[in-house]
Amino acid sequence: MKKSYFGLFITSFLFLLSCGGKDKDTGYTDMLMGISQSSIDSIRKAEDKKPVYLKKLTFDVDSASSVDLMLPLGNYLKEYSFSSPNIHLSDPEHPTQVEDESLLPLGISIKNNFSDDDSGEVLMIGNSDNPNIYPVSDIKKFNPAEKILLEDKNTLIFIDSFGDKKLYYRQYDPSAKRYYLYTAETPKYNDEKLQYASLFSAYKKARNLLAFDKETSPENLTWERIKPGLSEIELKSYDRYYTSLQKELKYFMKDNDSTDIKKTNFDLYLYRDNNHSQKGIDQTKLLADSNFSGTFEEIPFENRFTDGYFQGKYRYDDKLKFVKRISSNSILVSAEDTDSYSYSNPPGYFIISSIKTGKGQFYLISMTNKDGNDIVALMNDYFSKHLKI
Amino acid sequence: MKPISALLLCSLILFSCNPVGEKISDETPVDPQLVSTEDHLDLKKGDVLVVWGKLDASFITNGITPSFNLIYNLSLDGNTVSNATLPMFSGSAKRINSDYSVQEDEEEDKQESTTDSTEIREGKLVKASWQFEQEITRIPIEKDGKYTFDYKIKSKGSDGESMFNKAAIILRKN
Repeated sequence: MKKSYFGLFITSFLFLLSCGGKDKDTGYTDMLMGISQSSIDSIRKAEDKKPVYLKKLTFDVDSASSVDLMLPLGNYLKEYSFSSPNIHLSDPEHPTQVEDESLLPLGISIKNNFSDDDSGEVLMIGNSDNPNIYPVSDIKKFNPAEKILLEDKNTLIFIDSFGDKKLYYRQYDPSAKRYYLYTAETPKYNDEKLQYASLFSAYKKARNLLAFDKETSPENLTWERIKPGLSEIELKSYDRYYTSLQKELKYFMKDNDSTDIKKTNFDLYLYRDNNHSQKGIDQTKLLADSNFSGTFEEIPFENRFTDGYFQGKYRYDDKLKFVKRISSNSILVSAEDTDSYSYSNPPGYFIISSIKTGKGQFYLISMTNKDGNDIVALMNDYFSKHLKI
Repeated sequence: MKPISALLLCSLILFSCNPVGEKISDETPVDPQLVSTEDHLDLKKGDVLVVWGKLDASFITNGITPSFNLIYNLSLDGNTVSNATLPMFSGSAKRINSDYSVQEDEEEDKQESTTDSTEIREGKLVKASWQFEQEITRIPIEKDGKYTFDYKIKSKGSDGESMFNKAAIILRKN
């Protein structure tokens, strides 16, 4: 009898110990995850449901070769200047020496308008006869995960011991014998949900990288149409800028005031024109109606172009040309440096949107592409009509 | 009254009569290109909204602070209640939480010294780091409501644009 009591005591003790360990593990994993599994799942579903608007981008490897990739609107490619991405592709303890540097994969940084420095998203591209090169099993070995969020033959999404949320997604194109390894480490936003949204947004980006049949037609692109497809972080950031413009316009700008938001990849220049406000002039209409083409000096009405947005970019004798009307509020113009002594610069393209309110005549100018349909142009045009995005 | 009771009472009085008012906004970093906003400010008739500027500067020469302007708009339900453009950190009145640390010149002894005084010895360049808060304006509230305070901080010279000089806004109510 004594023996059975002792056995029961030992079993209960061991059971309690195991429960304690489990609680501790669960607590640690919960802490790493930051939010509940169900919240993570719903963020993933929300990202998956978003419509995708893709654009084909070409990255020049060298003068002889290039790579085509499909990325959501507002994203672009830049050479990755570091030797390896945030995820170890080989054993960090025993790095392999590659004698022929041409065999090393090419690194390309995937960026958007808000990834100022390192976006954390890197694509490695290389050639190999081995369709199973850099398998997920190896990546797991070289990158110890504390919590795996998703794993399949080509995908590994995990949280490491530093709490960093990481993505690895591999693709192999047998016809070109080329592999594509998309790696991402989510920036440490204060908002945990935003980190997961960014992680699953990168995953979606990675899966569409070679979806050449899904290119969005550039015709009829509008902000209303593409807005639901934007990542949470892009949407939040853009909203911050345009809300600021709305408040400038509503509360702060008078006379000939201007405000300039300059970022690495886009700019927003809002100004009020006192003369135009008093005389009821809308310069977008005048430039469009006259199909203007001439120097800045030859513009047939008083304007603040070379004293304002174009100051330091173009001079009085440089060319300004109306290209096309984008909407009832916005026009696309091109400007060109005509200095015969300088090297030939390609023309710059700009969207000018007219905003007429009870407070006067305002204009919003941004640089754009030659079709005037990049994401900033779409937002500017929408903002000029609704004073929000 | 026992001494301990007296001490407790004094502490209570000191804590309850906060001379600079109750802090009602977080001190958030300001992007000088954007309008910053403090919204849902729950204010009652008779309150006074006190706007404070906070300077966090390094390498200040001879105690001369960088110049900034505060441009603000206080609104209730989208309607402007008060707006103005005001200088920040001008003069030495109503300055609190001052922490002035002299950083000696390179030729001098490199030891840092901390002092509350900003007196400058004549003919000598004194570099210092300086943090303080200073009252900018007081706005009497005439109607209960949830107010929005939109503002911009604009530097008035190259000193203000230096990465070593940061200005922020703190809102308090009396």
